[in-house]
Formats: sequence, structure tokens, C-alpha cells
Amino acid sequence: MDMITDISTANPAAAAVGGLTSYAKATKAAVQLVQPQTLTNSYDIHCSMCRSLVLKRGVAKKQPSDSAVQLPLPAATQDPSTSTYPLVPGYLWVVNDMMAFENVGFTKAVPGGDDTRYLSCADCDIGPIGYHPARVPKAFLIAADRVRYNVV
Amino acid sequence: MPSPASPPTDQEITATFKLLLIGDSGTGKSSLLLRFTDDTWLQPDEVSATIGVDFKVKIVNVEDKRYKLTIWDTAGQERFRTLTSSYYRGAQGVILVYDVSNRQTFEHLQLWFTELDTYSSSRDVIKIIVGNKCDKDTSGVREVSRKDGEAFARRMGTLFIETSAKTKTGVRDAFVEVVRKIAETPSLWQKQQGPRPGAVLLNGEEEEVESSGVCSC
Repeated sequence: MDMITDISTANPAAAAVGGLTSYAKATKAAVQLVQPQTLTNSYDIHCSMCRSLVLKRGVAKKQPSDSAVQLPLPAATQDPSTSTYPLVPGYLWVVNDMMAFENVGFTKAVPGGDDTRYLSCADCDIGPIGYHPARVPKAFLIAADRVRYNVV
Repeated sequence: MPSPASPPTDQEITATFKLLLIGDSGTGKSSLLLRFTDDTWLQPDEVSATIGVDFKVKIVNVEDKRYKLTIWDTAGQERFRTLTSSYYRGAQGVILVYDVSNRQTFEHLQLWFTELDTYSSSRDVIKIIVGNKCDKDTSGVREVSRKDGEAFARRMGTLFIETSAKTKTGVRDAFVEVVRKIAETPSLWQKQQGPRPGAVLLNGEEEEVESSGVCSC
């Protein structure tokens, strides 16, 4: 079963038509995922597995990876060596209010650590797609490369 | 692609509700939460949950209106009875889950009602009793009849439904019924002030959800 809507394999122009666009494809096609004036997300953000809507366009701000809230994200698969995602994403999307999400799941605070909560897809439970660092109560972060974009 | 899972995203949110899942361990609360999805493309065993999900923010469409729900799962906590009043505070809907193949989980509902009455912030809170795992009917392991479940719900003045997180039977209905009832009970939510009722701070202290007109943004 093909679970991921893979829009295009070769033609970058086709990547912007219908369906959802991965971070890699968008980057390759020079799609502006970041709105240049506001630094917000130009497009709706969806789960890369089940297409559940995570964030509407314009509600999250680009957060560089080298900021104080940065935290390595564990592999998104059980076997880290097969993970296609880097531990440190290129950048993140940040919202300051958990109710800014359309659909999202929060894990329990990871015990023994710094009480970080990881974020998952609310519909298919895939994750982590981001995290909520306990030391920055108003930061809810989504890894830009672990979600897909409704490029229209 | 228009489907119940992806309503038009430009439509305004009518209200935000806080829902709780309570009931004994092993009754399938977490599975209900996972299966409460309009369009699951994955089989549950294809998804590896390495860290348990604590709660979800979820959009649901009921009668052409969009509601944003925060749904809290007690998984892992109820064994130690450490649920605090903050967990209950501000909740407008409670889903009480038992396992139709385990009589004890049904009998324990009485204790859950007691706890709910103790901590609930509103008498109007909408309750639904959910007899989960009703797919076990065919294999002859049912210990609680539908009739018993219905009778108890009637006595407690709550909604009732049987569900199967396995076959998805009734799962969406259970959540939708609660949302519909809350929507019909304005006293539960119309006094809400501020931009994000249902939101809580995740570091212990809960946010003021019943503030008196003070904008918390």
C-alpha cells in the first residue's frame, strides 16, 4: 500500500501540483516554504504519513535550528539507522500556543530527562514530528523536514 | 481531498472543548483515542508508539460546525490513582470506558463516577459510558451485556454506546455524541473567556480556563 502521496519523482514543476509536497522536494524545486516578510509558513502543514492537517498556513514561525530551544529529535523509526530524517532538522516551525495546532498529539513528558514532550500526528500517531521543551513553556516546535506541505 | 478528516480549513472554529477518557487499565482508552480518526490509513500494528500519547488536539466536524478538542488519556496514571483535580478541571465531556469482556472494569465505573463527581468543575459535564471491545461478542467472552450497560447508563443519566477500537464500530459516534451534547449545553462553554479555552500549561500549573474576561494572550 502506498501510504505517502509522492507527488513527483523527477519533475520539480509537478511537485507543486495537487497532493502534498515533501520538504526535500519543495527545497529542490525552490518552493518558498517560508513567507519572506513574516517568516511564517506559506502553506498548510500536514502529516507526511496520513495527511492529517497539523498547522494552517501562516500560524507558525520559522525557528532556526541553532537557537536556544534546539534539541535533537530521535529517529522517526524504531531502527535509527533506517531513519531518513536527520537528528537536527534544517529548521523548525514554532507556535506559542498549543491550541494553534489543528491536529497534534503530545507524548507524556519524558521521565528522567528535562520533561520534554514529543509531538506526533493526532490521527496516525507517527512521530516524533516535533517537540515541546519544558524549559521553554511557550514553544511548540515542528521539524520542517518531517512534515509535508500543501503547496498550492 | 474532501473528507471528514479534512474539513475546509478556512472555516471558523465554533468552540474548543476538553474531553477526558477515564476507566480502568486495559479497557482500551488509548486505542479509542488512536482510532478516533476519520481516515486512518495505517493499521495500528504498523505504527510504533514508543512513548505513550498523553493528549491530543483534534479538529472534529459535527453538524457542519468545526470544534477543536483536547482529548486527555489517563493511560499509565490510573493504576496509581494519581489523577489530580487539574486533570478534571475545565473538562466539558468525559468518556467512561469499560471492557465488555471484563466485568470488573464495568463494576469499577461506580468508583470513576465518584472520582468524577469529586473533582469535576461543573455538574453539567457531559458523560458517556462506553462499552469497548464489543467485537469480542462473537468469541463468547462477553461478561457485560449491552442491556446491563444501557441500564447502568440510564441510572447514571449518561449517554451510552458500545464500541470496538478494533473494528472502529461506534468509536467516532462516541466522541461525536459527546461533542454534540456539549454544544447543546451552553452553560458548559459559553462562559469561556480568552482565546484558547482548554489549553493548559504543561509544566504542572494549569492555565486559568475559567478566567473572568481577562485575556490571557
